Amino acid sequence: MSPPWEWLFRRSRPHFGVIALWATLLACIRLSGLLLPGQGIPSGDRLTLLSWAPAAVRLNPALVHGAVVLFVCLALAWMVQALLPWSAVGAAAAFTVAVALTQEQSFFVDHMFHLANLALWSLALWYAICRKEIGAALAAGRFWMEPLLPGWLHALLVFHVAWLYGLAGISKLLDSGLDWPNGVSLQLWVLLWGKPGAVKTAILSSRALAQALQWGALSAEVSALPLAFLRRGRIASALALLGFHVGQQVIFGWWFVGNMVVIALALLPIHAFVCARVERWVPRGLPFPPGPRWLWTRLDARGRYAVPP
Amino acid sequence: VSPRFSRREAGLLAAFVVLEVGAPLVFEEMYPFSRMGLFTDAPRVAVAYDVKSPEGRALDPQDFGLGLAYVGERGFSARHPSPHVSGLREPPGLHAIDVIPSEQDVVKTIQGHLSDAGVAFVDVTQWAYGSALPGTLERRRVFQRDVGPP
Repeated sequence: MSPPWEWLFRRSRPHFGVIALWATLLACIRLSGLLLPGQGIPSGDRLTLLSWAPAAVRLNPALVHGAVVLFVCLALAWMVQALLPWSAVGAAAAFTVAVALTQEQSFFVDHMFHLANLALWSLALWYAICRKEIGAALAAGRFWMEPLLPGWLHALLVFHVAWLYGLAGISKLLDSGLDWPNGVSLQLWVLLWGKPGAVKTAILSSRALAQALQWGALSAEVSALPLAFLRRGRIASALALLGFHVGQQVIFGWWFVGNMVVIALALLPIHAFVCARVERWVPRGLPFPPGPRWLWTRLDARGRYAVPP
Repeated sequence: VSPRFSRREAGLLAAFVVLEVGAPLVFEEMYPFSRMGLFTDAPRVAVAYDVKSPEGRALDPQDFGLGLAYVGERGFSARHPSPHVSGLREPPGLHAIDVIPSEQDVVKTIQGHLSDAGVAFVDVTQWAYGSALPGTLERRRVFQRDVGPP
């Protein structure tokens, strides 16, 4: 009898992984444009893995720009499956360093980057662990037709979403209890940071609406932890969390693009749909069209030019 | 679909998950790991300031030590007055959430910034927003006065 965790190590064709890779990298490239290093008084708090680095490193804005440039170059290489696995691990590391340095140089912690960064490390882990199989499949021109994607990649994405949002909800309950969705706090935040318009006016003039929105946000976060682990609960959780972020965008203009991408990849049934669909595609072994074989191998998602086994 | 299993692969995955679960419980913030403790407080009062020059021109309250030092973070409100969790400290200021500073404190803070701001005196109004009225967010003028050198 096979062990119950066997599905984690079962391999399927890599299409979902590549979709997740492109979506996450594009989101991270967009996020890296939001990194604004600043200057101020070091507090001495330890808040990133770079907090132990010398102040000359931690508080150097030029290093943030350098890490962003390095990340974008490595991300582009990774997207076209070049320089593997170093482009994968390097891109994840460079993005982590860029965000960590920005957090070290800021007055406040920004939670816009965490989920996308964890997804990036999960994808890098896949490329690092499966580097031999991926390299051999690329060399043989059969990348898209080989079982290269481990089940744990999607499981890790689900775990990241469930854990981070669950913690966010639990932190609110631990800090403020059921007083958190009191409506007044959201009205004050909207007063301070809300985008001018009808939505702002509506929230400021209705405590009931503010309370309803806060209860919705708290429920979406707290319920993510149990719901994400139930197949049937995932879609409801995804819609609730995506709605929460759309609301943030409408009310405050805070665009959590990385979080939304990872939520969709992890909780909407994209993984099951893509994996089932691509398993039906049969390699046809057609002759490569003119042009570099290197390119066609990477574009041949349907296996038209892949040699049948 | 071909099942494979290696101890090395399982070990790396387990280490990743343990780090993600353990780091925020120990450090609260240890990027890229986090307890996600933003906006966990439930403030009930906020304050706003109007600062005007002798000619009636609107001035930035931040230039008079009245910039808002609050970003909704855990550990950075009246409920948790300890310094917030971040790499840098906000410059010391009077204006925080859930607190209505006294008129004397506001006057003293402004007086400390008058020469830097290059004005002899200013007209300041302190507004408080809160939950006294049901439904809407009440806006109340706490005081308005001229502030000159001490």
